[in-house]
Parts: sequence; structure tokens; C-alpha cells
Amino acid sequence: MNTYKSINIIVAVLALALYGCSSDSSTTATNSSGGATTTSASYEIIVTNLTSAQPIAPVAVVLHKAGYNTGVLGTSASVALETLAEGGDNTMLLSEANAHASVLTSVGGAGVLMPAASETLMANVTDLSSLQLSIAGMLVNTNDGFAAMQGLDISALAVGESTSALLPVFDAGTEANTELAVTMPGTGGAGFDAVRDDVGFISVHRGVVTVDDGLATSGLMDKHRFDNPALKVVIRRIS
Amino acid sequence: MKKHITLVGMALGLLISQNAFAQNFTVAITNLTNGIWFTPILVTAAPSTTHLYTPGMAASASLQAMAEGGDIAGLTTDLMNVGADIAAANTTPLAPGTSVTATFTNTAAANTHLSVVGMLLPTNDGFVGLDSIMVPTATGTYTFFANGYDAGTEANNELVNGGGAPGVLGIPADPGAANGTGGTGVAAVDANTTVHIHRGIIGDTNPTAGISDLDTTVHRWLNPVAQIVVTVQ
Repeated sequence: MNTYKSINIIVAVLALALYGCSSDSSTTATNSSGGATTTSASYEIIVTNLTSAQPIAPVAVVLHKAGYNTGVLGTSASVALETLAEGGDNTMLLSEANAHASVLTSVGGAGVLMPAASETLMANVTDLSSLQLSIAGMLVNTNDGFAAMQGLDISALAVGESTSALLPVFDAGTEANTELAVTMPGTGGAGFDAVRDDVGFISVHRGVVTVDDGLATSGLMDKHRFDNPALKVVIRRIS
Repeated sequence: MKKHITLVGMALGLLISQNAFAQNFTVAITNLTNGIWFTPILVTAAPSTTHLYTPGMAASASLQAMAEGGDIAGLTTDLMNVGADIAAANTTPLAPGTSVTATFTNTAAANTHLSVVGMLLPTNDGFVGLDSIMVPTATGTYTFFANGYDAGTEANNELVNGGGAPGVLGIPADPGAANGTGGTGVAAVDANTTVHIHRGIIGDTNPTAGISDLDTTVHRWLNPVAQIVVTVQ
């Protein structure tokens, strides 16, 4: 029933706007349910890969309050985010999240999310006040590109309601975008590499060039190109 | 009774025009690109009817000067003529990954809408644009994202030759010095001569020849190109 209320459309439009938003975002400031703080809730999180030919490594989903960030635009990525973005490994990001005081729970994807595929994840919390959701997952045919969203406020979601977001691709800024096959996990190359040889800050990904667009040394082809958005996320409160 | 009705009416009037009062707020702009700089950004609070550009419409001469050469003098004059508030931002090109904050203090009551423009360098006539967003009235932090537009006034030949004056073909410079030379030129004409979403850079991998003076591995971008955080005090 009552999915996609009009306010949810607004949330979807703003979802892009929430990456790197530090804390007290009030763009959807209708969180009136002060008495809801003791309510427990279960959420279904459905992710869908929208790309042409970019498998997305197991995503990391974190439910948290203000004060937790997977990354901030224009600043240096953490090693945990670098590990996720370069190698598709979400374990460090999830374990650091679980140790963070502002994090309520987290869940990782079961496996690589192929183009056109969807996966449903579940998360339960017992405190809804200022509840936010963040998510990140690597596009494996890139050097350090990842689809992500930071801090979508889901605290006002009622049982049965859902909201959705379309996620763009970011560049962790930790590995040069050489597109050499030996440097990307999707082409059989290396994953995480402690060396940082890129711009050093998180940006919006500029896309891949590929051999078909004149970069002769690229291990990628036309089909690997992408545009924003790359990942769809639907969050439904089921109880 | 009559009096009461009048009072209620006045109260409603206040609610409806709730945004029409002086405001204090900051606008923090972050360059989200990999290798594109923002020339001095024009950040303005203006009446809701003021638009620096409209997608699908031809650019004004003032917008053309900004988009082709980073010159915001004409747009500034246009805005002064409508009583807009203008807040100072960067005076030198804003590097990728960096931010600048413009501060508005006690804006005029009519200036309810925020607009932001700045040239994307190196491009022929690309600019970052946010057009007439209502400034929120409630205290808080609001995040917006801005796309890259093409003014539609100059062919995207992608040649860095110093051409920055309106109508002079070419790109003024690359502040990041990642450009090459000797390109033969990408596009000879603009297919869409109105303001439109920029199609991005093609570039090439040859620093001394090829079709473009821009680097295909450096200067490309996908939208959005800027994060704009409005903090209302």
C-alpha cells in the first residue's frame, strides 16, 4: 500500500544532494515523531544495478545518526573507503562503522550485484530518532569508483512507506584512473593498493574513457562506460 | 467580530509571505570535478523573477561573457539594476576539490532566491549553474547540487588559445596546466545555440596534436559538478 507518497519523490530528488552533507540536514524537516524514539523498526533495502556493464561489488549499508560519514566530498577518503573503492572489499568499512558511536546497525551485500540485478537486504533498529542511511558499493571496472549516498534521513518513514534514491558514482581520489587492466579488479587486476597516486580528494567520478574512446592503454570497452545514476536504492519500512 | 476576521486575515498574509524578510545565510560551494576550475563565482540573492539563464533560451550577452571568459561584470551590473544582493566568493579560480563560502547578511526582503554561476575552465563556454532556488526560511543546513551547462554561444573546439572575450573562439587557459597544444579542433559549431546541459569534454591523449588540447583522462566530468550547501542562521 501507500508507497511513493509525494514527499518520497522529494526525498529521491534530494538523495543526490546528501552525499557529504555533514550533519543536521533539515531538507526533509518533517520529522515530527519525537515520541517515536523507542519504536523498533525493520527496513527492507532493495538495491538495483542500473549500469550497462559495471558489476557492483557487495555494498555496505549503514544505519546511523548524525555524526557518521562514509566520506565527505572534497576531502581525503579513509583507508576503509579506499579499500572499498579500489578493491570492492566492504569489510573494513563495515567493521569501522559498527565500532562508531553514531552507528546503529549495518549490513553488507551477499555478493557482486550484476548489471540489471537487484538484491534485498534487511536491517532492524530500535531507535528511530534522526535515523539516516548511508550506502556505498564499488563499480568493479574502475580504478576507484563507487556509487554512494550519505545520510538519507529515513526517520519519518511510517510502516508500509518507502522512499527511493538514485545514486551517482564518486571517485575516491586514491588511485589514478589509468584504466589499465592490471589495476582494476573487474578486469582481473589488483584491488586495494596502499599507494595513493590520485588527486587525494573525493569527487564526482568523471566517467571512464575506454579504449573505444581513444585511450589505447585502457582495459575497458565502450560497454563499461556509465553515466549518473548507477545504483537505485529503495528503502521500505516493513514494521 | 469584524476586527477578529481582519486580524486572522493579516496573520494569513504573514504566513503566505513568510519568506519576504531580510535573511542571514552562507553559501558554501565545493568543486566536485577532477580537473575543471571555477572562475570567480557569482553568488546572488535576487527576486524570484530574476534568472541569470534559462535552459532552452539564448544566453544574454552578460552570461556569454561569463561563460566564455569568466567575466562577471555584466551579470553583476544586471543584478544591481534589480536590487539583488551579491556575496563575494573566490577571486581566483577555485581548484577541484576545494570550497569557497559566500556570506549574505541582512538581504533585501525581495531577494528570496539564490542563483550561482561560474565558468568551467578549461571549457569554451561551459559554466556551473544553479538557477533561482528559494532560500529556505527555517534555520538549518540545506544541500543542493549543480550541473554543468553550455551557454550555446561558442563552438566547443577544445583548443586552448587564450580566447576568452565574447565571440572569440577558443579556451582562455587551463589553471591546472594539464592541457596540450596543437589540436585540430573538436566541434566547429554549436548544434544547440541555447543554454543547455553541457555534453562534457572529449579530449584526447596526444599532448601535441590530436583533435583537442584537453586531456581525455583529466578534463572529463559527469554531473553534478558542484555541491552547494546553504546554511540559514
